[in-house]
Amino acid sequence: MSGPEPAASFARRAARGEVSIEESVAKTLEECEKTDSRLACFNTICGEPALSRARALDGLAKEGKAAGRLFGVPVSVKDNICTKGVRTTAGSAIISDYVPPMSATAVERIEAEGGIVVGKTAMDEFGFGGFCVNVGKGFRVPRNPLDEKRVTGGSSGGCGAVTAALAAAGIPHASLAESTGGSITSPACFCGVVGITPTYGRVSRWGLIDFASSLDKIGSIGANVEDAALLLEAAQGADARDMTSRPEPAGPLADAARGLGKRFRLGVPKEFFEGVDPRVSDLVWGAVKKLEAEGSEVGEVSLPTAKYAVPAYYLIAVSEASTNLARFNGTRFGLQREPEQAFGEYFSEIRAEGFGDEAKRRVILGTFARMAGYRGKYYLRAMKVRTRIIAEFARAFEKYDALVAPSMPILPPTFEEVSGLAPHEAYALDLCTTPPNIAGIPHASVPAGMAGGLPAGAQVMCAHLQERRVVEVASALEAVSK
Amino acid sequence: MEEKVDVGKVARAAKVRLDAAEAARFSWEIEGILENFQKLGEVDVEGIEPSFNPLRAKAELREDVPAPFDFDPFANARFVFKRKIVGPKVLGE
Repeated sequence: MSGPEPAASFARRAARGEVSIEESVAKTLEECEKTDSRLACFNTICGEPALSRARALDGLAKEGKAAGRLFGVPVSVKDNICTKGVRTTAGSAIISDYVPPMSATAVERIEAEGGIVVGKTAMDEFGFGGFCVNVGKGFRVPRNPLDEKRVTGGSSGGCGAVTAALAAAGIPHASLAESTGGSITSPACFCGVVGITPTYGRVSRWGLIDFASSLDKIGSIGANVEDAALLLEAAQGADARDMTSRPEPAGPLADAARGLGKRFRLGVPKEFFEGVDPRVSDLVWGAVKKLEAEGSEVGEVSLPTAKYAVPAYYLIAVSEASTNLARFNGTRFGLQREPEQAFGEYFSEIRAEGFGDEAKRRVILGTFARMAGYRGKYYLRAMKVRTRIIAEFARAFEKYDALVAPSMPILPPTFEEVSGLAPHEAYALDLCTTPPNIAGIPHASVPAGMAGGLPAGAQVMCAHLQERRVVEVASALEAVSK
Repeated sequence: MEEKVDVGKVARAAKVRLDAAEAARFSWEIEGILENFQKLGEVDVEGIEPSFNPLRAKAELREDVPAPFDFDPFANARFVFKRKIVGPKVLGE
């Protein structure tokens, strides 16, 4: 796949007035509608608002006032990231009619750089899933553009599907996604595109509908490393409205995707290959060996606590989710009725009506893990295991520039295969994505090749705040995997 | 070690009403999940501090200065009386 024009190049031409942004957005919207009717990857398509903004940007270009790294670039946004005046649902029936009165900081920054929001993408309810089949009541399950019998990956499944579909149609575009435990890597891998999850706090969470506050990270999905890096570059940076956002300077990223030819010290963590489909392992090792042949140093590394990342992650995530979801009680927004019952009964009934199965399961599990008598055994122990995982990564990064592992342990499964999994079996498939997410380190998923017509992904992980290094290594892997 | 969970009691604390079929299914599923989580007990965490944030963070607080909302906080509330959100009664439970 040669792919569409890089977003940065398109933005420069649009700013010079060499392309009609209105025509480009109209074509993008038409393709979004076609893609959505086939793949169900949008919850909302922003037709007229996007065209209106496109006309305004065309006007600026004519006046010579155009500016911005994403000038005229169509951007889709995961539906748990608030967009002023555009319905934002987090894929849940309990807020299916919520129209935010403000945009998330990340969206404001993308629009300030000239990006145009064309739609809000399908997702697992509140991000509760790795396959994008746990959508809320009344929402549609998206399908993989590479094979419609297969899942997109999740929870940012719509972001992955629309990015792959628009790339195949030759349309410049990037998608603002979000990961808590692998929700960028999974759909990027299964849809054969690139996803970058930054360091925890690198992108402001203000305006994000929280799942787990110490794990949630807004990131990007693009047709290639450069596009994903460009979108992340525009969205990142400290924000006074989010006290967990990082104060360290956030520098350019997209240009790092163009500086090929570098050599790296690459560690391959052996625990990430245990139980992985051999076809995936072979493709990831094949890409690593190519970089070694080009001069990079490669060594095996052990992260012994990484195999405990799945239970530690889920205990932290559900504990935080059970408190974050307390706000959905049928009073200030979303599903509401005349509040005639007593509060306990009213809250319990409206939440039963508005939450899907996985949301109920996680709220109950999280409430249990925080209860008196269990908090130390589950929640606090998980937080201590997290400390060990962070320390093991830090030690590995003293020796290596980056770690490379499979993104997902399997090729994209069919809907039938996923439907047969018990919840704990589905959670276990997050074995490669939970370690970097629980540690809050930046990482990317890059296509590593195809097996039987299905994509496998290589995951690049670097030390905290080393997004630029992630982009460099991901670009090198992208180049050798084409 | 198998963990028995009184799902009905936990669901009441979580303010989520479950019907009998849901309670039975969630009991089975949650016990299966917790059984798999028991392996966390294998990790030696003696003397290790919990990480509530994956990075060291310094609390940065804004100046405590009153300021108007730059958006309407009532925009999505259906039941509003004199700029106050009407909620369910808290007495008489």
